[in-house]
Amino acid sequence: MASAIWKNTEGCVLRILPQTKYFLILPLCLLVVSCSKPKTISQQELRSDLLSATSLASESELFMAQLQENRTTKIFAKAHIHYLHEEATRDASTLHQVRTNKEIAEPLRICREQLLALASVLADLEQSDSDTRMIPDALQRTTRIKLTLEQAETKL
Amino acid sequence: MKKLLGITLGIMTALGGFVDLGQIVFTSQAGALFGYELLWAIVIGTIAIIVYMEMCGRVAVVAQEPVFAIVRTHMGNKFGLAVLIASNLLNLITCAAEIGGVAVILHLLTGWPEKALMVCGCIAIASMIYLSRFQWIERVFGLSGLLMIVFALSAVYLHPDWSAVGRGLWPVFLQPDSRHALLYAYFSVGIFSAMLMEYEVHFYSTGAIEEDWKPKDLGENFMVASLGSILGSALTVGLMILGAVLFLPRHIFPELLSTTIVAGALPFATKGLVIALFGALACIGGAAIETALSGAYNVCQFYNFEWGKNRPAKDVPIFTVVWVGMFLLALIIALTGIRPLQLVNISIIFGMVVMPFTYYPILRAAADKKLMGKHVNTTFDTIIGAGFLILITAAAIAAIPLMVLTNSGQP
Repeated sequence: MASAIWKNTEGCVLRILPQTKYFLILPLCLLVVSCSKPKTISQQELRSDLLSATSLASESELFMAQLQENRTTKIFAKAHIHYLHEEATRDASTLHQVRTNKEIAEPLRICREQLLALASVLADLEQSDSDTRMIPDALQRTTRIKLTLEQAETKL
Repeated sequence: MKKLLGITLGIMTALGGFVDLGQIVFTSQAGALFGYELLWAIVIGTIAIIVYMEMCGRVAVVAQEPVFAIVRTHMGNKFGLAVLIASNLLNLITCAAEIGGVAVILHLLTGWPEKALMVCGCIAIASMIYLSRFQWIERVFGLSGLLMIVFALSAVYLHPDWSAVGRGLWPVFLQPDSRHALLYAYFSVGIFSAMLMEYEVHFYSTGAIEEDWKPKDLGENFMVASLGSILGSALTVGLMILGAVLFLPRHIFPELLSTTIVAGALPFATKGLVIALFGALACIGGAAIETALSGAYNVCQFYNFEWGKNRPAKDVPIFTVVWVGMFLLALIIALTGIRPLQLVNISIIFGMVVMPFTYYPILRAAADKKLMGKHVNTTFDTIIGAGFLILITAAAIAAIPLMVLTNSGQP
């Protein structure tokens, strides 16, 4: 129980009631729920991860096409590629910490590997300062990654 | 001209509420997953927010009672206090997310380090609030937020299937499987919630008092609430269409703000990109201001402390301390490195849970003949308001289970 130190215009002392703690706890629980990731993932969760990885590859493809046609600023390109790279690396590292049953171990391995491959493509592009000469190759590699991920998802 | 500029309160309230960081990404995700099938949620959300914005503006003008004074009167001190704490926690989480979003946009514009931009952006916004009168804050952020129109133009330019857009105005009850059905329900609730975020009505009703509206201005109240909300809604529809046209066929589920910005600027290349970035900066910055100021307004109105953005800081010390404190705490949360979009997901769903406790007292006050005199709700107003309150309550009950079952809307 805590009481506030101020008085209002009517001179009433303010108190914070103990029941209010539930309203404080609820968003914290939500935060924990949304941040936590199970250590063993199910087939459905792996499918969701594969879809998310495919989406990231597709996002990268879409942006590389824009970059190729000089339809973006240099600063934006560097920053956006960095965000995509960060996302791919984070997802790959999350998948490295999970386990799954034997039947779906192979798609999990593919997902990890392809995310790392995508992170590598994006890192190369970031380092080259989005050099347009690098883009056709990066685009090709990204398309391959996307196809591999899509195949892994359909086999699941 | 003064009347025309008065609309900026509605525009800033709606843009800061509808087109903030969460809504920009969330609506694009909804379009990416379900095409146009969730447009009806935007339409219902828009009508609901117009109804309640008009009501709380009317109560503020006639009874000179902003939302949190009404909450205390109608829900009692104990429960009212719980609502106050929940609402301000929600404001804090949202403000932290918006500060993170401001830093992302500034980083995309300048390339400077994100954390430094977070601090600088926060100081710049806080200084602007400190130095400007309320009207200037709403004009600057409301009018510059209009740059977001580039998203709606892009959506039209990309030739959406208009007959499918029309069909999206009706809910689709049959989904291919239970997973899709749950996701559909989650995004419906999320869109509805994001359009009715509490801080919009807190900010709007207080704004009416800050701007010294009188009962003779009540006609304008309806116009301001409607035009601002319809504009915000049109931009939200634009975002969903972009999701449907650009992301759905490519199997993209956008989880980055920068990806949504790319979509908004796609047909217009570099110029469109810069306009989209400045528009998003104004909307997200506006949302940060709305949430921080709402936090201070709520506390002062609940406890009857002196408040007012147009009064010198020394005359309203608690008000000033609270909004500065909100910014500081939000900045600290943002600096910890929590991803802004994660915070926003929480605030949208948690916001839904608290929502009935904000909207119920507004409806009660607006229908109270003693308080409102000849400006009391008509029977029609009350029936419509009650209908939306039932929807809000149903969505509030479903919000957290849906969040858990869908892993925060992951496809």
